[in-house]
Amino acid sequence: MMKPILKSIAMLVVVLFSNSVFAELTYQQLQDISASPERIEGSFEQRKYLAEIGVSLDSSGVFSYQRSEKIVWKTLEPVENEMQMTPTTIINSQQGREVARLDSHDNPAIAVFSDIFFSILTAQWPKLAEHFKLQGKLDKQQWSAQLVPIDSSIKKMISLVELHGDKLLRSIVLHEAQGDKTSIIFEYSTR
Amino acid sequence: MNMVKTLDRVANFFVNKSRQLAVLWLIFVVLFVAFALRSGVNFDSSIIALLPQSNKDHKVQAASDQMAASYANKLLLIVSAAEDKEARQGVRQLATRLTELPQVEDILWQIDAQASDYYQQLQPYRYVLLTDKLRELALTEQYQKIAQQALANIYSPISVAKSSIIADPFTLHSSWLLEQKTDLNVKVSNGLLQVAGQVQPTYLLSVSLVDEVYSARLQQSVLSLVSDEQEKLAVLGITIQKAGLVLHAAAAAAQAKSEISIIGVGSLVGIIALIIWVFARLSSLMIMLLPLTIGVISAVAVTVLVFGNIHMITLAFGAGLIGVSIDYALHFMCHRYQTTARMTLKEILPGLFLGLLSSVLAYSAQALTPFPGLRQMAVFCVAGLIFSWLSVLFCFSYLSDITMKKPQTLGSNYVLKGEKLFARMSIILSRLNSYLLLPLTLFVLLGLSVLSLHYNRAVDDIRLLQSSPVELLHKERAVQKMLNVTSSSQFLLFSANGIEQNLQLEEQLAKQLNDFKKQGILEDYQALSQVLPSIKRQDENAQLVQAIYDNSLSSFYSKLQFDSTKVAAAEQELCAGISARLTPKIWWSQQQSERRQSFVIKHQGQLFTVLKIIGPVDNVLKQALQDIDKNHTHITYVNRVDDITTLLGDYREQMTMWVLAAYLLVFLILLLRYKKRVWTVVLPSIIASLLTLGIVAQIEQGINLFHIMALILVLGIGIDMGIFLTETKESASTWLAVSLSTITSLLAFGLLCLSETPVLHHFGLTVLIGLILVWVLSSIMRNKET
Repeated sequence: MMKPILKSIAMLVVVLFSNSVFAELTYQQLQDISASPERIEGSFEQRKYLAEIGVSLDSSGVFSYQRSEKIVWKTLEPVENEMQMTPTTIINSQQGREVARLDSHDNPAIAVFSDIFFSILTAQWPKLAEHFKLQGKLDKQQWSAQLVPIDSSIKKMISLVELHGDKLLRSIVLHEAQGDKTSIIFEYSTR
Repeated sequence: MNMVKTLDRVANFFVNKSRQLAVLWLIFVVLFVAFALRSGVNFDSSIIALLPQSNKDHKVQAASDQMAASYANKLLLIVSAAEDKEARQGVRQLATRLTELPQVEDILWQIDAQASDYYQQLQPYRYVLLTDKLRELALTEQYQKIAQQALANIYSPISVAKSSIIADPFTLHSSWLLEQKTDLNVKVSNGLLQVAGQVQPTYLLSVSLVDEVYSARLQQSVLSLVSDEQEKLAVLGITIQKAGLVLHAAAAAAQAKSEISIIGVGSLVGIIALIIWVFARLSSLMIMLLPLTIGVISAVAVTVLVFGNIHMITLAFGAGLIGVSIDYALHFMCHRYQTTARMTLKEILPGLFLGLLSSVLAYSAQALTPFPGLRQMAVFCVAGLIFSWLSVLFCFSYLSDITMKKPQTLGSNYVLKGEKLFARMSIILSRLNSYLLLPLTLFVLLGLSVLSLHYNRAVDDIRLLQSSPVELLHKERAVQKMLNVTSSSQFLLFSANGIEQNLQLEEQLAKQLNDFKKQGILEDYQALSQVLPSIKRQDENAQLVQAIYDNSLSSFYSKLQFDSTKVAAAEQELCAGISARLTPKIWWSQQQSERRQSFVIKHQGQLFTVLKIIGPVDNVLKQALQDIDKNHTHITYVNRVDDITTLLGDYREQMTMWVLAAYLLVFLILLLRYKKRVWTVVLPSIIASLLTLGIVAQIEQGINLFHIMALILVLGIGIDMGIFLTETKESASTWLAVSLSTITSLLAFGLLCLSETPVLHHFGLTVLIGLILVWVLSSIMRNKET
């Protein structure tokens, strides 16, 4: 867990990056830089901004993923909830009991959303290239990327995704169409 | 004696005025045909058109028709390729080309931003549209859990259930939408419809055609474009799979077309060859083809006039008419070679008339069936027979007079080629009659037939009507499996008073059906109440939501550290929106209703609803559904396949009665004229019919409706034969005519038994066997004294 001050600095970095001017960056470059380990674990800090009422909600937890198999996203504070994502399903459990299950088979919207989130977290750049236009800059091993949805149906949900990382993804800012914004910072415990 | 005089007068009239009559008749025929076919011939190839209307229940029929229609005009195209880019390009290319066609009403292939907007129309009704899960929690008062879930959702990085935190803190609206499953196994991928769970990138185009799937023009333009593109895209490694009724319709049409040409041309060539061999004159041939041509063309004209269109199968069956309608001409000409036109008419007119009468009677029985297709065939044949009969009567005196100078010398007994041959054959066969063995053999054979019939089960399967190529059915099934759709013909029909009552009834039944699902008996079902709850259910939901707000809202908000103003704001939203109801009228006006509009059946000013059964129906489920039907006055279990089987069975039995009645009627009419000799006229037909049925039961693994119907033909032709032979005291020329007409009929109907269309095959086979037997039996049982 990061200390509150560190957290704020990290948030600031995210915001700064999102305001800087972006140059040419290609998916191929990202592909070359990114490591995509089989398994990875870590913790996250999330700040969700609700534009409607001007309130930010902070949460934190741990995550792990197995490449192209599943992501486990465990929110610990302030509420305990575990989300398991596979390429076809999203399952939410609380206190070890499944409370909601969404099957992308049944629902196109979920399929698209989980597909994108999965691709972002596991650095599947070719997949993201199908859905987003890329802008960004690369400075040594550090990169910042702006992803703008190509497709109008995705644009209705996500207006912009900002990513920052080196070998691994360090932060995400997800701008939703209605003005809500979700910023996530990652700390990896392996590597 | 009076009758002889009348006959003289009639014959004289036709001979004396022969020229005027011939000209007038031809003018009439030309005018009539021109009038009837003024707007062209509209060909129909729908198998459904052959199906009878259900005799049980009009609302069931209306529902079945509507369900069939919602599927009928769809053409599903599945495009796949190794690379995603190529598959997408294929979809675009196909869609662009198809849009150009006027026969294409709409293509569903891309989802644009607006399309998903229509779900927003439901937003005002969020407080009364609850998912089953949330209802369950609220009903069991698990408010804490509801708050927990709302919290988890708000902190989730990907909030798929997206809602305003004030207007809808418990994400009622998006949860409801998320539970609305798509009916097809597709997902939106970059704006296109991608088929889920495929190895290769695979996309769907659902083409809605204008309502003329059976029109040849539509089939031609749409399918040729698709196969054209199929070839072009195949070069790029892009494959297209197809499914839809239009494909079956086109296949049936193509099949019927080729069969019509084979059967029609085959029997025509055979008949021409026979006539040339026997009469050895081109002029005779031309004369004899005249009533045949007039018969067929007029039959088409009459059919179009009566039905508005003509079915391909009618035409294929009608091709067999060629063999029957030449009969009258053959009889006239065979006699005419020996005597004058006047004498010919006098001799053959009674037989000709009785022959026509018995055939028309036989076909009329067919017209009484409720099968639209069969009725059309009957009208076609009756019209064809009457027109060729009249053509012989009106034109042959004149035509034979101008082509033949005098009757041939009476020096030789046999004037025409073949006369001797057939007379010989019949004499040889008739010798069998002298053996005691014959009655015994016949008796044994009849006994065997009765046994064969007794131990044979009847076949009334719907497959009797199905003629689609197996390969096409396989491909169709593959596509259905890919998309996870079943063209299920099974459903429950709710017929309570008014839509609200029906929705309530559906909701009551849902519990039972969900239990079936849990037990694995039922795969799934689709119902209107799943997208449009009854007002009663919406009222209940409103109360539940009020309770959720009362019990969970403040604890949820306090966890988010929201102040009391936010609670007040959310409650104000609730207050403003909770009385909104999604009425059927509002629902109907919304775009999203399109998916389930076919679930509402409008019939005689009443509104019924339909609950579709998805997945296979085994005996356990069938029994369960039948029980539901039994226990609810306003729920009917409709199983189209079983219904048609029952119907075919009913008609098979009815038809058997009709055949018996027709035999009896013909027997009575003939009894008036022939008195004791009536047995020699009808017995060969009767014995032949029984033997035929016995044989067919063995060859075809069961008797079906169409075998019985074919017996009517055997009766018609067989009795004709008996009448002519008796009328002319079995003269050599009659034997020739009778034998020739048997051979021509055999050519026509025998070829039908090669047909791939089951109905025609059954007809052909029965007539083929029946006619051979009639001819042989008539020969054997002929009067020895002559």
